[in-house]
Amino acid sequence: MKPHGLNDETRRQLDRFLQHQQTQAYQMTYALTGNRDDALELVQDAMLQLVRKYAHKPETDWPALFHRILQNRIRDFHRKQGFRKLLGLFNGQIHRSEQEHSDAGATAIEQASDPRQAQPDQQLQQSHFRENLLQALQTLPLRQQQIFLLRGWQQFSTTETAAALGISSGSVKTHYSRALEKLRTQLGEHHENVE
Amino acid sequence: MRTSNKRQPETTEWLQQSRQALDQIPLDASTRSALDAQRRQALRAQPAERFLRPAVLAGAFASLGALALAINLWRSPDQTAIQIDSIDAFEIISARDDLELYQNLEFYLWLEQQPDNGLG
Repeated sequence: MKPHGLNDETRRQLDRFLQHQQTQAYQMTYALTGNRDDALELVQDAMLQLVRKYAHKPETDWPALFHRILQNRIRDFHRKQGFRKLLGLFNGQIHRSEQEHSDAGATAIEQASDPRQAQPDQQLQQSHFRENLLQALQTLPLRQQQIFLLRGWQQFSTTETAAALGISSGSVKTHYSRALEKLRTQLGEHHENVE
Repeated sequence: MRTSNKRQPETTEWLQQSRQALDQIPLDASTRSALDAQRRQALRAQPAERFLRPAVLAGAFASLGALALAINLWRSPDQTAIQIDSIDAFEIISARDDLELYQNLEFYLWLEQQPDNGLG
């Protein structure tokens, strides 16, 4: 039987690639799940899947493959969450998750308010803006959330976003436009205050 | 993607502010450490057994071929029967006797009405 496994060069390339992706992948997944542990688990799944199934693909294909896997994992996660909510088995965890989210926000504000940190007002406003943005984001359908984060935040092209989500470019444009409109509407008041 | 040269930067101030805010999603030391550990663990994983794929494909093709052959053999008698039926029907329709019957229908009707034609 032929020896099987990653050669050193591929391993180094994958290591560089994943190291470069992991922070943004985590931040995006956190924005879409609102939970640190869930975000870490989903990112880990995506990393494993990429190595196990697509390490042999050209390095140039890895970004699209990695984001496709990650977005699929996030979609599956939300489907499971929805199913659990329907069954009414998740009430306690939702409450805890909301509490954790609230605590995290409070911690961020506390840290920002800590005189030892001496953060400028602008950073505090930024923190408030982020919390509002994440809350507004969670009111959008998942597809619009994903497209806003890929297209608006990560600055993927329409084609790249479509490839990552497995949908058409036209659909990306439509959802992106709707997402921007809704977010601007919801954050308008805050935005005016910040300005 | 951010890493590629295909950026299509949006210039609105609102989007720019959103990007900055999202870039600053908290990432504490323990989370960074967990991500590093996960990356190392992923790199230790063995790629899926790709060399099995041709064998699996060959097996699938062989199975499909066998299935197609079985279906063909199973359906063959019916097809023969249909063909025979069709030929029979064609013969009935095109038989000279029957055509003569229809062509001389008036004569045969008249013959049947005769009290004794000496044939019975």
